[in-house]
Amino acid sequence: MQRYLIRRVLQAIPLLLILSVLLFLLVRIAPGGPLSQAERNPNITQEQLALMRERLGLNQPLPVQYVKWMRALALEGDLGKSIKSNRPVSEMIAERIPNTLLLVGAAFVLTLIAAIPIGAMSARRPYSWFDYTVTSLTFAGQSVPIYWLGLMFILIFYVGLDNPLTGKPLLPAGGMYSIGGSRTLPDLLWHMILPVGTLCLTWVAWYSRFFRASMLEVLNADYIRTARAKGLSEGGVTYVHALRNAVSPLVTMIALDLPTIFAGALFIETIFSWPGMGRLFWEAARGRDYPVLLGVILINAALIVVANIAADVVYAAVDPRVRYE
Amino acid sequence: MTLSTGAQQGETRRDPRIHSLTALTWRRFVRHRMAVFSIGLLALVLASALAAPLSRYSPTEQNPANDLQPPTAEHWFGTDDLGRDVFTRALYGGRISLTVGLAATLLSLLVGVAVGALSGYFGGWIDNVLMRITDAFLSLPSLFVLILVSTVLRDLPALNLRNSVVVVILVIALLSWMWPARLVRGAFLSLRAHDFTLAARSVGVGHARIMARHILPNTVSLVIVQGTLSIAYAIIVESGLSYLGFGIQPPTPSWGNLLSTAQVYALRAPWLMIFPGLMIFLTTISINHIGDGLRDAFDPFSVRTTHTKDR
Repeated sequence: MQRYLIRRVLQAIPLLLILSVLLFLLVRIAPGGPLSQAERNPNITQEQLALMRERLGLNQPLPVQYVKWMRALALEGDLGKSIKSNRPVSEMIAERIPNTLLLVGAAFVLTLIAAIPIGAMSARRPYSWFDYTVTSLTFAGQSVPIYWLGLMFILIFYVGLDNPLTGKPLLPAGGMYSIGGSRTLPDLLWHMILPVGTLCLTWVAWYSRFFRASMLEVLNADYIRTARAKGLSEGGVTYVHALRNAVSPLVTMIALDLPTIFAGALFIETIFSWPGMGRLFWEAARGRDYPVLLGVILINAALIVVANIAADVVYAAVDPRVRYE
Repeated sequence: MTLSTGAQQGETRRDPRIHSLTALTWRRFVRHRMAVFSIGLLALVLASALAAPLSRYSPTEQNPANDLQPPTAEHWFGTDDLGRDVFTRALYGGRISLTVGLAATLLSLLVGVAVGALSGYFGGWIDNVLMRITDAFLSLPSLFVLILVSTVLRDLPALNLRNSVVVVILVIALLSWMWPARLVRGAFLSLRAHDFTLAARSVGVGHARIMARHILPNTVSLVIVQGTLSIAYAIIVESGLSYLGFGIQPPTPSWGNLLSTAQVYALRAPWLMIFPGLMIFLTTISINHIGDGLRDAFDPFSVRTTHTKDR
């Protein structure tokens, strides 16, 4: 196990390095590179531009620039400074990560709470009316673009429906807290309903499907037949013996799904003005703020790689049949 | 050849004429009612996109005096902030979105099948290298990279792609060839161990010919199913990118960028948000149902419809 872990980590490092080189080059071949905005600005003189280039070290050869950038990143976690706000990128990302984790985490917990029972019930009676209803709904959930679903919820709960007591919109259309209000927990939860709900609906569609398949596979296993032969109740077999074993593939599934999960968060944060990493990335991309773009992608890629390794470890821990060498 | 024998075992032999593989597959497909219904729906969307020039409105000509009109008999989906007919723009947008979906899928299949075939057939270090690259692409935060790459490509003056559909097709293909690659690799890995491959080798058939003529035809059903589903995926990605402002650029309409202007007018003209999204939704759900129907139809052992997540 330890050996396997070390090998995985050693494999992951070159992967992240290659990725960083590619992204670094990509950003540098963009016209004007990090200064494309400044170059278009008529108020900035050539001398000022030259000075900015000098200050950012853009006159040096590319490999030198890369090594300097990488060294700063590796030693001090320094991702450079934002072109727009001139603030350290690492600081900007650090203050957004908790918001993203709050949004994604809440949505994920709710997703699993809904998806596991739904999948288990579908698998217990496949092709029953319940299973057919769930199948149709999950197909719709898998096909609907998440951003459009979010927009429709804004249309229904913000534009369409009013709170009968106050006459104001039933649910807020965006943000984390009411503007000008105090930052209270109820206010936060209030603002979380729509973004978390949108994420949940699409995720439940995917995960209940996956869990149904996983459960069906387990229900065909020999030890389930044994459990039934011993005279255990059908509920006991399904919800105690089978459920436990069907849950473990979910761990791998979630880790593999992380890019999709982050993508969902980007859409939802953009639509609902949720101040997370995705929203930061979107704003930075609109303003061609390349250091921020680079920073967010690298952090996300690192999170995905770490999550994949962690998933392998957790998978081995919950399922004793899995052995790595 | 392995497929047809498997298929015949599941059926009673009444009339040998209808037991060709195609006929059996077709019969199983027709039994999937949602898939058949979806073909009709998709045909409608396709026909409407093709018929877009028949509309008496221009998709781009502005008419500010007539802005933000609600849906009427004149303007079925209403008009947008610049007075353009949204129905006409949705039809033209469909042309773009469907083209991107189809082209990106074909390109990703081309790359994916090639990578998967080489990897699965030769194994060894080729497989190792190709699969590490595939894994690397799979662990990218894809939407973020899509946004970055399409921004940079569009900004490059040398390529002159500023307002081009080509960029969107390329970036979507660049980040979606990995799924067909893995799928095809798996199929090649198991098929190359079959006796017919050995037989072909023993009579001196070359590697390229074995891969193309002996093994590849056996993976066609897999590739078709995967391809169908990835058209829906590509359409969703395109419209998402365009919605965020990094895909198809206005004034060229696409289902996604119609939505991004709509959000600004959520309070004054909520209908603008409904229709383009509905077009995307109807298209993707029909494609997904057709893909599901095809999967069942191609599977000789399928008895009833099953739906499984394959990514």
